[in-house]
Amino acid sequence: MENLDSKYKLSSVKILHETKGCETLVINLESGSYFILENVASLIWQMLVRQITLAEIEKNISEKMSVNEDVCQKELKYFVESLVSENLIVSVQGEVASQEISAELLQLYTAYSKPEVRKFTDMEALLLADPIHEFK
Amino acid sequence: MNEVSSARIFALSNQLLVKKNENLDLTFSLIDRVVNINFSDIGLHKQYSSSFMHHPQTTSENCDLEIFVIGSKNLPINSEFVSLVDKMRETSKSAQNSPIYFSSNDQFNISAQWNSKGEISTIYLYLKNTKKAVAWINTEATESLHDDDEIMSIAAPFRAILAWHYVQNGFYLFHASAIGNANAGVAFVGQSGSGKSSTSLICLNSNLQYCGDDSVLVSNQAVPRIHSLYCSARLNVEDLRYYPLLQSKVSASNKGKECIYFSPGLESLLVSDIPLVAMIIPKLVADAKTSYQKVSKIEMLAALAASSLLHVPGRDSSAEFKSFSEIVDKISCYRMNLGRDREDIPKYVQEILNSNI
Repeated sequence: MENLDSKYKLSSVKILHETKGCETLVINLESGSYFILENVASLIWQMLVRQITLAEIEKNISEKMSVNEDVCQKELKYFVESLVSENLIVSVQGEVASQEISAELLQLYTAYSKPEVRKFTDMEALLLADPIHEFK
Repeated sequence: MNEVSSARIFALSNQLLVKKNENLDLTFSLIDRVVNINFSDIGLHKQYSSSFMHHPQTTSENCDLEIFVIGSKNLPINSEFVSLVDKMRETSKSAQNSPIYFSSNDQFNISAQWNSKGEISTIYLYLKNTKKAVAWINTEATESLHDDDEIMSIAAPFRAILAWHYVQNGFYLFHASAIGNANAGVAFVGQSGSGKSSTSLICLNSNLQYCGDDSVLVSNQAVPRIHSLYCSARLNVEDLRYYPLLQSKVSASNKGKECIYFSPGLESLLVSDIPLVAMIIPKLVADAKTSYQKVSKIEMLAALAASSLLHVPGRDSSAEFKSFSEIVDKISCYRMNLGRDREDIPKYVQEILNSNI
């Protein structure tokens, strides 16, 4: 874990992600694992991939939702560590401009819930039997 | 794989694009595109043409895709082409122990499969610019296999080649089975063994028709359409009592998994393409009763994309993922918990269809 000024980006492995409503799907094509992030977890993901700092993410959440700042910060850090350990995101080095998150998107999320990573591995066997090896 | 091997394989593959036997052609129209398959011997023709017999047969002029199917009798396992591909895996750090190897460059896609004895069993090579392909089959190796892989290779032949070609032309390969009629249809998606095939086959006991098992093509229109690719189905002979219309296709002495073909004889049960209005994730449960409920678009996208994108290598996964997401937005999404009362499954599928027309 870096510090609250840390920013993140997608890791160098092949990651696909999509958000619909308050849910996000993240697929790691190299491992075959996929992840579903719901509610606050989905919101945090969308801010992370916009290179918004952890401090700003925590501020956005704690200002909008009734949650203790310490709890929010602790759970945010734990959640981000989980995403890093799954090799979905890596911290960004150097100056990187953040993209703003729209008010409309923030409005979708009203109540705080502990951000969690739901991991699914049922497709890993398919990948192991069907590896992708590309050359150029 | 180095550039020298790549260039040599490309050169050798071009030498293989010659019809070994003019009389062993199969030419058919698949979604308004003409596919010609030329077999090097009668045994291959007999084994691998049945899955395509439901498509309108046509002439081989102006082909959009030509597949040259060559058996190991005509191109032995110790030929330079096969040996080079066999060595590709040996020299790959990441694929040495894998049963499937895939590589791609600007000129071609190639995939090869090895059986449990370590023998190379198939090579599929698709030339991107000329729309021609080579399918090499080790007939000695596959004859010695009796497992799911063999049944799949016979039921869904040349799947990777067809996927590479049709995806290049704006279609998508879903790892799904599909049933319906001219007005509406559903696709069952999920990993192998989840109940996709059995759920679609049992729906033949209603007025629904069969569009495909395991692999279907999809076009992303205002109302997405599913297009039949193969007229084959894999079924457990022990479950045959649930499929009375299919009993004539399986010998009473057979056991285990079987591949059956709807054509000839059961064409009335087939539909070539259907409007896709709903997708269902089947799940086998221990309950007595079958039930269904709506699931989120993300849950459906997870089931569809994770399974379909990993089903055939060598596709632009980012672009296809976006299209899968668009398709999911246009349809309704359900999970069906498959209980022991299988007879009620068609009724529930019909309810889903009726509520989405």
